[in-house]
This record gives sequence, structure tokens and C-alpha cells, in this order.
Amino acid sequence: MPPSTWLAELRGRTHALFRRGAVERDLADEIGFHLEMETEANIRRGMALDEARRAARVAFGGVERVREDHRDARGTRLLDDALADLRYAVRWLARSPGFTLPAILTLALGVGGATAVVCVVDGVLLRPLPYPEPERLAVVRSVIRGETQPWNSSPPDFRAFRDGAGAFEQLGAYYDIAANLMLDGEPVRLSAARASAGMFPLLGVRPLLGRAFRADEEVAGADRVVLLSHALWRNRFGGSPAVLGSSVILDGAPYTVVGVMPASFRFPDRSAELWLPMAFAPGDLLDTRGNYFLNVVGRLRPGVSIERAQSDLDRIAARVAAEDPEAPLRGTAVVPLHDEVVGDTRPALLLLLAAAGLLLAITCANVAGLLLARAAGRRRELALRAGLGATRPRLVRQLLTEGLLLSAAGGAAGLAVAWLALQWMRTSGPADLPRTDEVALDGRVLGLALAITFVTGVAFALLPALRLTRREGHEELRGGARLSGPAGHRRLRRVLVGGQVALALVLLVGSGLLLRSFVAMTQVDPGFRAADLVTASLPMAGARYADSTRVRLFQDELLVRVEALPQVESAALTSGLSLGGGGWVKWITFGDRSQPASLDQVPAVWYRLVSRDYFRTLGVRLVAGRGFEPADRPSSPPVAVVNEAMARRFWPGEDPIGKTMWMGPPEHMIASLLSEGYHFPRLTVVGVVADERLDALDAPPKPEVYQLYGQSGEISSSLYLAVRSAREPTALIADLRGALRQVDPTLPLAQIATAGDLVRESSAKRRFGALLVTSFAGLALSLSLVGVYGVAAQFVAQRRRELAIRLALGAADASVVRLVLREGLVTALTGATAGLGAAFALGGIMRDVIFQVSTADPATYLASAGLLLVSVVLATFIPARRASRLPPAEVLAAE
Amino acid sequence: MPRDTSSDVLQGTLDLLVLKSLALGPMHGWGIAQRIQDLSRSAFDVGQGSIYPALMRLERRGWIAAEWGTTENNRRARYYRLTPAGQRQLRQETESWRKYAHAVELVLRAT
Repeated sequence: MPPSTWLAELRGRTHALFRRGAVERDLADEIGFHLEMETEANIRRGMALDEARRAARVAFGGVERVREDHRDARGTRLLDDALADLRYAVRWLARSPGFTLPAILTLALGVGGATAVVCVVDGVLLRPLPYPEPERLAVVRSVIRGETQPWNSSPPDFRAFRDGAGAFEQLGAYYDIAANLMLDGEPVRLSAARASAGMFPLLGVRPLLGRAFRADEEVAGADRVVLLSHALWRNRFGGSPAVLGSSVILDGAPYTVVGVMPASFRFPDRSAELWLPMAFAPGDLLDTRGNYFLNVVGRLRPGVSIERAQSDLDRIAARVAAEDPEAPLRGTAVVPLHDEVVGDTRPALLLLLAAAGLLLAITCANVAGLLLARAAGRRRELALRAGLGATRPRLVRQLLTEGLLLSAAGGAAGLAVAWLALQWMRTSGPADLPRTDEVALDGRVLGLALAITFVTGVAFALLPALRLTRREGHEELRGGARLSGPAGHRRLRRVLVGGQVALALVLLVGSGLLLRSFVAMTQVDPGFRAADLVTASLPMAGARYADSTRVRLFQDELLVRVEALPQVESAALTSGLSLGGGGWVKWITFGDRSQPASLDQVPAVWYRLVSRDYFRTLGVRLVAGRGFEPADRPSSPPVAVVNEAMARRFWPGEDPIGKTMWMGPPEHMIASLLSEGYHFPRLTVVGVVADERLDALDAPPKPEVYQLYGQSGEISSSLYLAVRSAREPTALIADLRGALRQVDPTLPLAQIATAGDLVRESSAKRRFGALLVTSFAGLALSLSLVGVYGVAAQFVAQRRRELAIRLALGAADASVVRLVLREGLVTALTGATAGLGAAFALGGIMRDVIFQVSTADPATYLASAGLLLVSVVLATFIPARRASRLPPAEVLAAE
Repeated sequence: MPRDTSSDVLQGTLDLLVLKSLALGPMHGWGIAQRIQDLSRSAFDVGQGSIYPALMRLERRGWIAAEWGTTENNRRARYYRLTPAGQRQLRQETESWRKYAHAVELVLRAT
């Protein structure tokens, strides 16, 4: 067709569509004119008026037929019909709010829940990391002799990797630190990272202002430069470009601001506010092969696989081990950066996705059931329309339009629900869920929600539509139309409800398992008494504390001042706080047993430095021997306290008290690193204490050694304060700050929490997951109960006559109630059986997220099924009672 | 909804006849029906009404245009006229119709 033709055609059609009324009127006028002209012509041919009119009609043919053909000829038939269907559907839905509102609400919850969860899964798991070509980014970990899990890397090993790995375009390293920034004369503690110069180009991120680090700034002394986060720059430096080149005081030393990172840069995580160059002074103890604290990230060369990179690095590790027999490095573990970031949230999120999917399925079944029940009441209407000539595709299209309109309304409401849910998740979700700031309702998710909505709309409208418009439906006009549909119709409804019950039970079992896991976790003894305990972190990065004597003086003075505060029972300092961070691992050698043959076989245990009153303050139970006492002075023989896990592992069936050991390998193995004749201090075990849970309540306790600060020459860079006091925490914290200010006015108090908070936080993710899945299960249960109720109510409505006759013949109320209950229960029991089977079969996907409970836990299954059946009986009881109260005479008279 | 073939042929033929009758000058629906009847000497036994869907079809394709006017008896009537595109179309269809009729004739003549 030449363009002029299709343009004209388009104009014609548009005109016909939008000026429908005008076109119809024109046609009527034309037909009138035509008939008049023909009539007159006939009269001229000698006919009488009536005769002439009749002949004109005959010559014209059927007026209605011409009208219909004219409409077809306009080419707007489909659209016309669709608009008519839509108008009809809107009227129909608006006329029955009692059906429409619950249906839309149900859909909104199902679609909204699914959309929100998909959004989170998309943002956290699926979306690529916000760096160019993120699939080429990988994390490198070190496999260390004697350790089962791969560790971070030591600085010398990192340099070996960086200089030797051809598989990588670039390798970078960083480690988290806390830095004290002086702002307006007040110290502010900020999360920061020290990063090698390669880190920023490797990620492919350029500073918004200024420049990233240069390689020559990776040298101690030349490293007094700092990059600011966008938020810090905006909030604290007024967002002015003049900040470049200015000087800030960090940990008491001047640093030059060389750049500002873009707002989207959240590395290593969103808390990072500052970046400093990674630099080690010659002889820095951190810069040795025994310190595994560097996070190493690399950008693979294009086309290089993770496996290739791994074998490349393993080769370097082997070379390191060959050159230096004492080096603990044995190999590497390379994982994609994305996997590392997402970490262990994958199973939990996938579980949530499955739960949301189940809820959505229940929602659809529920709405399909509602539509089906309503459709039963429309059989006469549809039969009438069919009788008037509406074709079956036309009727199906009409019902589909109604379904789509309903699901569109539900979908729109669902998006609102999803948006609210995401807001809630951002503010109330677990703090350690990664990438939550990248979660957003974007086009892709909207598209998916649209697709979900469309599919559900078609799915739940099509079934009743096809069923209703079957040919036998047309029989309805003859014979009194009953309230009921045919038997097959009822069966379909039962299947839908049974399916809902089954899915709801799967969700109930799932949430039961999660709740039991959560309860099991809250019942874990953290090893310390959390009540009346306040903890805080003290940054020790200040250069002035670089020698151990001054640290000890600072600690002693602080403790004296804190313990002098009103209502403070006791106070303690420690290098690591259970559930709160910190903690080291050290080699250990025992004096009274044969020494390991090689460095490979030297065991390692967790190690904490504590002040004297640590156990009393934390409420850690003493199991045997004694704790630390005033008699344990720097000058007296060093002593240690071990935990029960340590005693179990190294002295099973023996008394650990009085044993000797040292925190290091046999000296001859690392002679080159030690000064001539050096011996690690020999520690004597004087007590055994209960196990503290180090990093998580649901991780098994680990062997640990406690030593007194005063008896160790080591400095811990992380220092935590614990205070036992019955006082109200806010007032106490204010006093603590005051006490600290008197000792050192430049040090802030950070991460202040009650120990109860720490315990709660460590179970937050579990609580969040359990809460979500439980609310899904609750919704699912209520929806399926509505379904069961509907089946029973329909049963009563259909059998009014029969029930009335039974009652009239003297049947006991109870027998009628039983009859109706049976109808509901048979459906529910069938569904429940299927649900138990499905839950059992699907149990495996929960293995990674449950704790101290079996996926086949009989109590959970029994309780879920019990809860379901009791609710079903209650839901069925309402229509059953109504049935038994039927007035027989009235019912029979009405029929 | 598809129609059977015979009426498709009929529809095409009717379109051609309407175009042809309008080639004589603008005319209203009744007049077109009269012209077709006169020109064909009433050989086509179709309801007069069926020209209206045909007119709609042709108008939609831009081959004819319509506007309201008055007859010599001062009556309001809708007049149709051939557009340039319609004239081209008429030439093309006449051509192909002749070829077609000629071919059918040849076949029928062969014994």
C-alpha cells in the first residue's frame, strides 16, 4: 500500500472509532434518505404508498444486516467490542463491591508480596554489582595450613599475588578500620578502609572530585592523604570543591584531602566514609606472613576463568611455601565478588521467594474460586446472551475482560503494597542484609509485576469462562435455573480450595520450622549474662597508644573512673566482644605433650585479652579453678583461663588446670622471625569458664584462651568496654562518655549497645525471615479458610431443599451440622494430606536456613496440620449452624 | 469472521461497480444503486443496502470521499466522489478484471 493509502485508512478507522455515534447517525440518515428516494421512485412507477414502501424495503435488504456489515467494514470491530466489554466489566465489578473489594485486596496482597520479594531478590542476588564488567571481579582468599576455612591474606602474600598472577589485570587489597576524625573540635568515629592504590582503578570507579591514590602513597610516611565519601563531603564539608587539598585531623595526625568519591560508591559497604592508602612502615608487625587480615580483590583479564585464576594463584602459593617453609600459606580460594557480597543470604532469600510464590498461587486460586462462585450466579445471564446470538468466543472474551480488569486493579493495589513493604524492609529489615540500598522498584520489576498480574488475570478468568460457556450452559434457560452449577463446577471449586489448603499447609510447616529455629536460637546460652550489661567500642588507632605501657596506663585509669561511677557494679576491657566483633586466632603449643613435627600441624585457637574483672562483669560462669586475681601481676608468672570447648578439644577426660602452653609455634620452627633466644611466655591454665558464643548464636562455640592485658606485651587495636550496672543505659552512657573524656578527650565512644541488643541483633535476620514467612503463612491460612468457608456455604445454599426436608422429617440439628462439616472437612483433609506430602518433599530447600530442628520435625508437621484442621472446622461451623437453623416450612414453600 | 469465497468475489465486484459508477460523477448512495442497476441492466441481484458497507470500505481506503450535500429537490444527502487514489484503483481493477474475464473466456471457449 502506498503511504497515502494507509494514512487515509488510519484516518478513516480512527474517525470511525472515536466518532462512533456520528458514523452511526450518518448511516441511519443515509438509509432513511435511500428508502425515501426508492419509495418515491416506486410511486412514480405507479405503486400505492404502502406498496411502494414495502417494495423499497425489499429492494434494500435487511436494514440490521446492513448496519452490522457497515460496522464490520469500519475495521474497528475488535476495539469496539473490547471497549464494550470493558464498560460492561466496570459496571459489573462496581455493582458488587462485596465481591470486588475482597478479590482486589486478596490480589493486592499476593501480587504485592511477590513483587516486593522479587524486588529484593533482584536487588540483592541477581542485579550485577555496580561496577563496570562486574563478572570479572573476584575475591582472593588464602588457604592456610591447619585451617579448614579460607582466610583473608597477609600483606606479603598479597604482594606475591599481585606481582605474579598473570590471570589478573590488577589485584588490590583493603582492610576495614575505624578512624577518628576531628570535626569542629569534636572527635567523630567513622568507618573507613585502608586500600591499596590499585583498588579504585580495579573496581573501575573514579573519584567525583580530585584523584584516587597513587602507588607512591602506598609507603609509610607518604600516606597522609584521604578520600572522602560523598555523604561525608556533603554533610560535613558543605559539599564544596574547595575541600580538595585541605587538611583534616585523623587519629591525631594531619591528612590531605585528595578526592571525593561518587555517591554511588559504597565500598567495602555502605558504612565506609573515608579511604586511606594502605601503607606499612618497615618492621610493622602487621606486615608479616602470620597476619591474615587483608581482603584481596582482583579484576580478571577478559576471558579468564575463575579456575584459571585459582590455579595461577595456587602456583604462587606453592612458590611462597617452597621459598619460605615457615609461611603458613598453602593455596588460595578464588570466588566471584558477587558471591562474596551476597554471601549466606541466598538460601534465605530463595526460601522467601518460594514462600511468596506459594502465597501468590493461593491468591490466584482464591480469586478463581470467588469468580467461579459468582459465575454460578451468572449462568442465566450468560445463557440469555448466548440465546440472543452472542458467540462463545465473544462470551469468553467478555469474562476474560472482567478477569483482566480485576487483576489490573489488584495489580495496581499490589504495587502499592510492594512499595510499602520495601519501605518497611529498608527501615526495619536486618541491618546486615547486603545491598538493600540497591533494592528498587524499577522497570524490570514493574514489568514482571505486570506480567504476573496479566497471567493471573487470564488464568483465573479463563477456567470459569470456558466452563460456563459450555454448550450445556445454554440448557439453563429451560428448566428452573438452580443456584448451583453442575457437578463438575463444584468439583473444580473443591480442587481449587483443596489446592489452597495444601499450599497453606506447606507455608505453615515452613514458618513452623523457621519459628522453631528462631526459638532454638534465642534459647542458646550466649555464655554471658546479657541483662544490665552495656558495651561500647573504643577506637585505639591513635598513634600515641603505640606502646603497650601507655595503653595499660590508659586502660587502668579508665577502669578506675568507670567503676567509680554511681551504681556501676564492675567494668572490664577486652580485645573482643562476643557477638560484637573482635577476636584473634593464635597458634598454640603445649608444654607437656610431644611437639608437632612441622608448622603445618601446629593447632590454632581463639584468643582474647581481657582485664581482671572480665568474667565477673560479663557474667561468664567459672566452671573449674579460678578467674584472674589481683595477684596476677605483670611481674608474676603469666596465667590463662580457657573455655570448655578448649578443654574438651585438648584435654578430654583430663583436668586442664595446671597445664602449661604458649601462644605460638615451637620457637625453633620460626627461629628466623624471632630475636635470638626469644621464648613465648609460658602460660599456666588456672581456670575453665563456660563457652561464650563468639560471632553468632547459631555457630558452635570455639576453643578459646583468655589472658590478662597486664601479663601480655601485646596491644589490641580493637578495644571494647563492658560495664555491668543496673542503671538506666542512657544516663549511664552519658557518664561513661564523661569518664572517657577525663582520660582522653580526643577518643570517642562508639558502637554503644546493651548486651541484650547484641543478642537480639545476632538473631535479627532469623527473626526477620521467620516473621515474613509466618505472615505469609498466616495470610495463606486465612485465604484458604475463606475458600473452605465458601465451599461449605455453597453446599448449604445448594442443598437448602434437601436440608430443609431432613429437618422437617425430624433430623437432629447435630446430624445436619455433621453433614455440612463433612463437606468442608473432606476438601480440607484431602488438601492437607497433599500439603503434608509437598512440605515433606520440599523440606530440603530449608536445610540451610533452619537451626537445631529437623526438616522432618514431627512436632512442626503435627502442629501445623492441627492448626489448619481446627481452623477449617471453625470456618465450616458457621455455615453448618446456619444450615441447622433453616426454617423448613419457609424454604420448602419458596421452592 | 471470515466469509465464504463466493461473497468475497461478490464484494470485490461490488467495490469495482461502485468505483465505476462514481467515475461518472459524484453521487449519493441511492443514486449509485440506481446507476449500478441501470448500467448492469439489473443483472446484479444484490440488496441495494449492501452498497453502504461497500462505500464504508472504499472510504476507509481513501478511494472515495464523502460529504453531505443537497439534491436538486433540496433534500439532504451524502454525496460520494472518487479521489485520485480511487481513480488509479479503478484503472487497475478494470485492467485486472478484463484480464481475468478474458482468461475465463479463453478457458470456456476451449472445448
